[in-house]
Amino acid sequence: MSKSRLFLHPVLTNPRSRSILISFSVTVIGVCFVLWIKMMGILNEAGLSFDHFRTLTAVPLLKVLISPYVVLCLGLFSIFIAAATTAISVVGPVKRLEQWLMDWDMGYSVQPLKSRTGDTYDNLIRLINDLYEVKKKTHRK
Amino acid sequence: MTGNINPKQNQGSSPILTMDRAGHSESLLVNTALSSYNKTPMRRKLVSNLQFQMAFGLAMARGVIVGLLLPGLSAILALYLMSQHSDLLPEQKTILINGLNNLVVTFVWISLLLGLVNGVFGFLISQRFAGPLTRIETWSMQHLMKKNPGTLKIRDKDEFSGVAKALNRIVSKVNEEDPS
Repeated sequence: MSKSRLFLHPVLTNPRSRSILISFSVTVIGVCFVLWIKMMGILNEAGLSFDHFRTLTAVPLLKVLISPYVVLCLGLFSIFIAAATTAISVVGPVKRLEQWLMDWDMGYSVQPLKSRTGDTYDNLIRLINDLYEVKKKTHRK
Repeated sequence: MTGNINPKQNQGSSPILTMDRAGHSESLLVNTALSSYNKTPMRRKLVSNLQFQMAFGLAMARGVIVGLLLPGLSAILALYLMSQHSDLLPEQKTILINGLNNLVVTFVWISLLLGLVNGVFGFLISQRFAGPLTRIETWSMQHLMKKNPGTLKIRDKDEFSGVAKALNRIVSKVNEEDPS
């Protein structure tokens, strides 16, 4: 149960989450490329370039923003955050439910499942909890 | 979290399930497919659970917009800071400010378009979740009504196959312990 609560768990271990990560990567990298090309076009039109601002005594924030390393890190960070938040909401509850059922199957002490805010599986979770209660009563008899 | 499920017979042959839970009452209309669960073939439908699929699509759209926000805003901020630089000529500043406006418009359009495309893509791939979800819900309801629905069958490729296998194991184990 604790494993599925890890922030990165759904993105790294689930094939569906990995496909979300890949599709987001392609999208974000594509858009970053378009923005970079467009910025270069604007600077060229003004007779400027990125190097011009790197060498000037520019605002430190600007130097950071136009650094290729920062742009790369920013892109990767965005991809990861986007994929993680999406995977957590679409794949996370399924994995959580799977882990909970495995714990129940293995005979570990489990509490009724809790539905998290924003979960799209409320009805299923309620039914599984009902089933759990019924089976628990049957088992006690 | 527990609720009582009371099967009632509708005017026709469709049973209605009423679920009371923590003072709230909900009604679930389950059509005749519920009684013929085992005979229902696992056909893939484009829309099998609209509300769920919409939520799935929205999550995908939201995700891609979140992913684009940071690079987009940093590009806009960088261009803004460039346009405010004191060493630039007024003409250069004007070009940069005009370019900034174009960049903002382009970014907004690209984000909306990609959000829409990803939302539709999410809606389409959500059927791998929605179909099995409905199947497990129907199967669980049948178990709660003590109508033996048999083994829960889900495609191995579908997202809920692990859940289905675990549920089958649990139910068969409990039934072995107490066949009544």
